[in-house]
Amino acid sequence: MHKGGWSIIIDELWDSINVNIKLRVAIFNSSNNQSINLNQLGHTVERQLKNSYEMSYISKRFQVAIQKSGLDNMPNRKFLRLVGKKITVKVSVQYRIITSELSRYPNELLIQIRSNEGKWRGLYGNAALGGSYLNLNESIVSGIIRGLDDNTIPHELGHSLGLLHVDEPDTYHEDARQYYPVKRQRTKDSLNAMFSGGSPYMHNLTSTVITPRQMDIVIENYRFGNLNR
Amino acid sequence: MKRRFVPTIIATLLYLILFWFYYQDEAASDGFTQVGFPFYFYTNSGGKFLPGYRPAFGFNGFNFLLDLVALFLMILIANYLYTWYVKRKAIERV
Repeated sequence: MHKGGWSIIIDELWDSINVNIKLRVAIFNSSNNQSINLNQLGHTVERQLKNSYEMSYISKRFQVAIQKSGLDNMPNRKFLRLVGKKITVKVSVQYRIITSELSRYPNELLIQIRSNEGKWRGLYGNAALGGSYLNLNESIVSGIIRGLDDNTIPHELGHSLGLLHVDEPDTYHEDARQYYPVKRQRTKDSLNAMFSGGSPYMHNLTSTVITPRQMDIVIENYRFGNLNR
Repeated sequence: MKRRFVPTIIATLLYLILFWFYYQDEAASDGFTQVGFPFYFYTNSGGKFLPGYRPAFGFNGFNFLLDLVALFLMILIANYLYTWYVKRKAIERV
């Protein structure tokens, strides 16, 4: 049994790659507000995750190909060929409600609802980079369920998939591929889900997009064992 | 001069180790980036806050001064301990 809630199955064919992202979630409410409907939250997690992460795109990459010389004792020639493959990403979520943190299985990602106090006061939520937990502030959960916030869950789950803020200077030092220059932030990628809280482009309703480039990084993170830590 | 140099270097190194140990860099994933020992003089967060809750982030000059005082105190204590140790050794030799 693997650790953490993410599992990514990659089925590579000659002209396409099918990526199945599966998430197992345990939802636990440790806040003072016990009236939150956790089943509805589970449905919302599934809907928002599908909305942001399910996609289909063409990924172009170089592949080594061999051209046979056809002559005796003459070496074959290796060359790089640009190959395009259609990548289709599907997401499925399996969730269950738990009443104690100890009831969580090792192969589940924990979504814990926290009271709006102490360390969590005012903070929407957080998740460790490549980690297997997500904390949500109780005061925003009803908004998420009612469809007023389509960003927080895909954003935090993005962190648990190893994605960084696209506008944070620290991102440039940690993984420059994930950093968007200012011009890109305000033009074609202004709806990205991974803007930081202080960004003028972060909006609860519209910041929901995960780009194919970010999906490539997620797959790479999974392949290199950087998830479910 | 040599007596002052060794404990000062040791105390500064010890301070830098503690400084590095207390450093947090999690702003890129909704956590806090905090710098300083024993008091954080720089704090930043990439997290999303509810309206009216966002704390004041950035450089805190007062905490920076307190950190410098802490470094100075550590150097003083290291020098005092070193002098005490050297004196005791000298007495033992006599």
